[in-house]
Amino acid sequence: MYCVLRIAYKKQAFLENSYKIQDTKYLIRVTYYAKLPPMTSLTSDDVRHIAKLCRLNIAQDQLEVFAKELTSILSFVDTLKEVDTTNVEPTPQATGITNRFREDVLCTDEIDPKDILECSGLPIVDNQIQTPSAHG
Amino acid sequence: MSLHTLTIAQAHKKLRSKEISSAQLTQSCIDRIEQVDGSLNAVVFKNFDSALTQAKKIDASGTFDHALSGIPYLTKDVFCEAGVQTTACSNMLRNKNYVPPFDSTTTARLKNVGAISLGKVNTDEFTQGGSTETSCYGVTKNPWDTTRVAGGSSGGSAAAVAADECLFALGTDTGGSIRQPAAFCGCTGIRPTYGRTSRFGVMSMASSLDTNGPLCKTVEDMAIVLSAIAGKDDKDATTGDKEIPDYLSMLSGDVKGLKIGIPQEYFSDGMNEEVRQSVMDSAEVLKSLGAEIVEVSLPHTKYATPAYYIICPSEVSSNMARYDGIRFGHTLEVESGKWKVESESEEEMSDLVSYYHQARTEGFGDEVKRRIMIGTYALSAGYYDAYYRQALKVRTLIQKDFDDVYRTVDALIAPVTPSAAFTIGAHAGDPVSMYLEDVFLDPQVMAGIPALSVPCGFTAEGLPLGLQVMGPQWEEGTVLRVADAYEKATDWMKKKPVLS
Repeated sequence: MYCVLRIAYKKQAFLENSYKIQDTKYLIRVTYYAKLPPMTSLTSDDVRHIAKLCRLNIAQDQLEVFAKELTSILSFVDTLKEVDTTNVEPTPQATGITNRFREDVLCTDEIDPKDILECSGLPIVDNQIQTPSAHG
Repeated sequence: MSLHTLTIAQAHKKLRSKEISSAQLTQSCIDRIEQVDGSLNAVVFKNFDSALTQAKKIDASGTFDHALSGIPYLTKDVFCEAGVQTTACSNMLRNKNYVPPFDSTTTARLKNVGAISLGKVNTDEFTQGGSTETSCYGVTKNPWDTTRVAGGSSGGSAAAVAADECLFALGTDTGGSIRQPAAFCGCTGIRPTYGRTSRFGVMSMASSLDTNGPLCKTVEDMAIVLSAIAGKDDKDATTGDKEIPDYLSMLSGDVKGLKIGIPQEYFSDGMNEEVRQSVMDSAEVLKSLGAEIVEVSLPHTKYATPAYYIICPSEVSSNMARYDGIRFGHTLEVESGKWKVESESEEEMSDLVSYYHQARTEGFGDEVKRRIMIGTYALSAGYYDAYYRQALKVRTLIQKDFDDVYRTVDALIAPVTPSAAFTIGAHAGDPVSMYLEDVFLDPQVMAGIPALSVPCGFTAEGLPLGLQVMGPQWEEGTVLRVADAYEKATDWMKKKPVLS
């Protein structure tokens, strides 16, 4: 069975995306159109929000500088919107090698786990790294 | 005799015949570094005592069966070597002098055949840049003109090879970082097929694009090093199990019967005339050697750099998350049992989250922060399809362009860079103009194909230019064969920079 669910909008303003969902009996292709963001112009508030997601502090006097630079980068990559990618599958990795397995064995002959622990500059207590509290 | 000026192949012959020792060769490179690196800033960590000890051991063992036994080399500062400081030229790792307790597969393979590691060379911070200007150790200068960049991110590797500080160097190429500095400094450098060399133990930038390979004085030397480091690695699931041909035996100097394409999209009306002419002259050389030269089209070429600057920062934002100031690298000071966390945010955050913010803010430089933010934005809810997924689809189209032309040609040639090495600071404050330096280097990255740079001339100002040779996936042998034939028919490699 092959079923296409298509929620169509005005084509120019949307990107076509499709996902295949497959089990033993059915192959369902869900096609939807993601709305393209308008020409992006980031504000200082946007940068503050993005920086928070990145676990970075950006000093007040740097917010506008980054806003300008990030906006120019986003304008540059916006040219990708003009490429018609209808029915084109994404390529996550160029050579297409998938599902390479190996035995999940501990390689203690090559490295002592204690040496890895000692890479931390923080106090080591009972084979664990002591960090600031995650709760307060 | 200046032993440091030898190629790997020349030095190997002398080592085998006992004309020279590895210790003499290693000492000659060390002396050269001490003599000229003050004006270049290529070497950021000197491991000379260990190198000399290794060299003497190899001399004592008496055999030089492998072409790399006893050959001194330098490593870009992102390859982990057990017990050797490795900092990615970032304060994030430099502040506590990160010393990895394990070897990258690439350096381990070199160690196994007896190559001698002299130390670490400069790179843009975490390989993010195209000029080494983002390194926490300062910029590496171009040996041909010290007011200019050596390129990047493997600028330290290229400058060191061009200045004869070592016999070869390791670099990484995510978006052109081996080929561009090789072209700027007048040495050879190859980006292998994605997965031809193992990424294990090499600090990641963009995992679906990262590759590593050698920068050398000749194409023949690249064939020697690539043979030693290529191949499947159980520690990197993306390495291919394709057979590794005997690259050296493929360097016949002959290109008769090969069909070589010139992609028209790499040549525009406004392009640098010296760059255009150098490639056209190279095509004539290859034609005179018996190759058939044809014009081909790769229609999606201009979208490769915009796609790269979505995919790369997206993967950067994920890879840089491991630098949290806890497991390794930069940490905050502990004062009487409490961490000195200075939260600048008005929002309520736990001590741990404030700690992450402060450690990362102090450890990373501006270009890394820019890429983390662009990547985080591109991957965030509502934008993923428009940016990241669209870029992955464009990558499919770019790869298809190459697949189509490789049905009719064996290899492609093109410029490496839009111009010769630019002056230090030329792109300061304008990240996009810096990104545009990559326009000829990103299509190969998107397609995962092998590509190299071989010297193909000099500008009127005396700066080197590079010819880019590309081939289908896993066909490094063909790429090396074309470049070797070109190199043997020209004498650009013989010219050396004058350094005091």
